[in-house]
Amino acid sequence: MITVKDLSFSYKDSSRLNLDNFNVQFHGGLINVILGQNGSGKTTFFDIITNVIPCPKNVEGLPKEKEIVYQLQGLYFPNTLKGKDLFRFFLYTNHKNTITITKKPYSDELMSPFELDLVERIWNMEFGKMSVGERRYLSILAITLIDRKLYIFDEPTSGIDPAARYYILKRIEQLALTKKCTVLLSSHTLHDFEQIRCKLYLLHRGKLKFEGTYAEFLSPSELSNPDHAFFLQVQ
Amino acid sequence: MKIISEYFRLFTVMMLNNKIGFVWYLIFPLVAFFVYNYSWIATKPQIETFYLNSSLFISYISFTMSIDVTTNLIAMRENGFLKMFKFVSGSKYAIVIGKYLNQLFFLLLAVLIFTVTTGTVFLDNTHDFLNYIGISLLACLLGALTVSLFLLILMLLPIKQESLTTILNMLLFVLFIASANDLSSLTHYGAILVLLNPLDYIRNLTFLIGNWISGMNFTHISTANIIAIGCIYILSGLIGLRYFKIVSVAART
Repeated sequence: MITVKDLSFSYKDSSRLNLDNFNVQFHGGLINVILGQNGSGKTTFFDIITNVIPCPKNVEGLPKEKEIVYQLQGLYFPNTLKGKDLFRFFLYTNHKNTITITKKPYSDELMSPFELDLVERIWNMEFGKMSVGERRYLSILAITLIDRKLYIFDEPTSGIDPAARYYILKRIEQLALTKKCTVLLSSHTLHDFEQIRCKLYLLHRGKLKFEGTYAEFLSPSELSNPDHAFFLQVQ
Repeated sequence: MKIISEYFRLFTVMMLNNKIGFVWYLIFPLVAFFVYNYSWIATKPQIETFYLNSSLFISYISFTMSIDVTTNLIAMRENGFLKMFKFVSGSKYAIVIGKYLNQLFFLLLAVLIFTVTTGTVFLDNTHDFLNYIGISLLACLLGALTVSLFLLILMLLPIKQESLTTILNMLLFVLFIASANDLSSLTHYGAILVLLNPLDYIRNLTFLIGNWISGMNFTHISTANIIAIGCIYILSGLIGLRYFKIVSVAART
């Protein structure tokens, strides 16, 4: 369990507090989803708990840096790099890697027929010819194979189609359910979490505005649209 | 070691993807060398004169490729690559070493092509030709090892990659002119000028190695000064390497 107590933070030369006496607890066995408007401090918070921004003592229960993996979206890779080479690169640069990549497309028992087909299709495809969703799925698949105690996914589903979003989140959910680890994820696509075992945390103006399940997030407004519920929360 | 080799492999694919960039490192000095010394095609140069001129271009290639270690790492920092893969690999050093070795490899390749081309055209004696290749490769290797490391200190500055590249390109012109005019050998404080001009440092190193290997007598700053400047470069680079941040302070990642 990771506990954050009275965490405040602002950038140098900034009058605004990005985090203002922020208090929260994150648990294993589910996805901890951090919500918030653009610029609400989600990435800053991730940077603090990963010690990218020097971590104050207000955060407890963090694993060592070598036990953390931090996924970012939209990285540049050479267009000629093939799917298998990208996959290999993620795994072989992992300091704890035990997996060997062969010419055969990667598969495991957690993957659905859709995912097996997807990996087979993009295994020999060049990075430049893959869709954003295919690129993202492949890199998230590789990251879920990296053995860590804390996983951070910074907007892993932004800009991709519903099917790819679904399989990416299901893969991350499997990770949270089957490994002894903590999973933190930020997102703006709220509908996706209806079918995912998760807890939502709404970060607003540096404070925790909401903490609870997807159903609880919707209940005050008695709405079925989480975007509307989000809108009401941040007003 | 396996992790470093994976980064080396990725950066090689990146470099091969950017063929125009690599060709530019090589074609520009090669064309400039031939234009500047076209008279040598008719009348072969004295070996000393040939070394004096070619060392300037070899220093240029070495310096421009050394700069790229830092500018590429800053670009990787700005697009989030360093942040993500520092956690995957457990350390930022594997990424830096991978880039450093990759750049050295392509530098040696560029200098080899440059020396083989110019040596074939302008040198008749096989012994001189082989000496020239050996001296140039050794000088660029030693020079780039220290200068690439030294330039990592720039990663401590709050500056964007595109701004740094522009500044360095302008500075390169000044450093090239200063080295071409042998300013360091004209003053009493030449060693300080060499310290401030890494391009001239590589050139002095070429002269030192040239004197050692071929027994010629090129003027350069003292061996002690060359070693001292190398140590200062290495020390500065190690400070840069140790303290540079994996996220940009000039651009959000």
